Amino acid sequence: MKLDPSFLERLSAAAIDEGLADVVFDSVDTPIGELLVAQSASGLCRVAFEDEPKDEVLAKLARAIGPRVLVSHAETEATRDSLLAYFEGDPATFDIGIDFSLVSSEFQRKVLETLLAEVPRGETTSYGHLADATGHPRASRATGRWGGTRSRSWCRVIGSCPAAELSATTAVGRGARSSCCNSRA
Amino acid sequence: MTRRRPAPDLPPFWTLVEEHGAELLRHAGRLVGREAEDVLQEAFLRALRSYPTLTHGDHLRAWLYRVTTTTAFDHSKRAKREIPTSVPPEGAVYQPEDDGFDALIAELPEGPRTVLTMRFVEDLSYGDMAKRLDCSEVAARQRVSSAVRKLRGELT
Repeated sequence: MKLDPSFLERLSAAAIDEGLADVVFDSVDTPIGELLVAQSASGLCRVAFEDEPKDEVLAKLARAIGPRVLVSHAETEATRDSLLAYFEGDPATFDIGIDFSLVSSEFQRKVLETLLAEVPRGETTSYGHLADATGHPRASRATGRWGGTRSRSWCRVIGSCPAAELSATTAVGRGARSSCCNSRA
Repeated sequence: MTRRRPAPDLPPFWTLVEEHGAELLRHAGRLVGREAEDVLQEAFLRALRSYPTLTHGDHLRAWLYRVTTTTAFDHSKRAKREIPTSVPPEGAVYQPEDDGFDALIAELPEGPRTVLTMRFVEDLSYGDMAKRLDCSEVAARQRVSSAVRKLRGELT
């Protein structure tokens, strides 16, 4: 037997009112499957695919941001709506704050911030250009090595030479969802 | 120089709610009846206030039982007084190292006090309690139920 969802919603609302929630999360059905969205007071901090173990995702959030992790449908509504609008092709800006707490390295955080700020939807760039725009022109390989392990979030970045491009394409093409992500990015 | 204690690896609070919420609601129901949901919500809020300050992540289920029990007790005390107030309820600043549970059961006879301590402080399973009490597991369960009924008698 589980607790009634309305009880959990009331509990989360009361906790948020008192500033007792470090992270709130919920799931949302999208064209690429069910996603878990989690947000802190600073903004969206994690989007997880359904094949990622939920317990591990939440445990990592608890370690990185705080252990008071709660489920909340109401509190995540704006984030879920933004994601759904994005998948429906809404040209409006994906205008929600981002919390980079899970990104531990300052360099990696800077790369992500640059990627979000300077490579809009429908555009692509190369690891070299991204490294350059980040202010680390000699760090294209480091950028690529790191990005290569995160194929789903890097589908706007491609290699600038044929070999690298093949590598990037392979990384992006690891799953149907990734290809979908690539075509929509 | 004092060495700073490393932060404990606490599980996401939601997993505690998910795993133990239903049994805690039943426990609250045994203590306060129809107001169980109100008591459990307040208990979870108390637990959330102190959760990041816990010095270890052991026996969290037993800890939640104690918080729920003391919250039920405070709830009953307030209900008896029936004095409307805007002052935060007793226990709003919750001290995890002294959750008031020992004081709450101090007036009970030794038998019930012992089984409540085994179950909600030492976090023993009914099997382990049976071994220590030299009785069957069913008897251990019955002793805990009886002790909770006695505690409820103290509350009402």
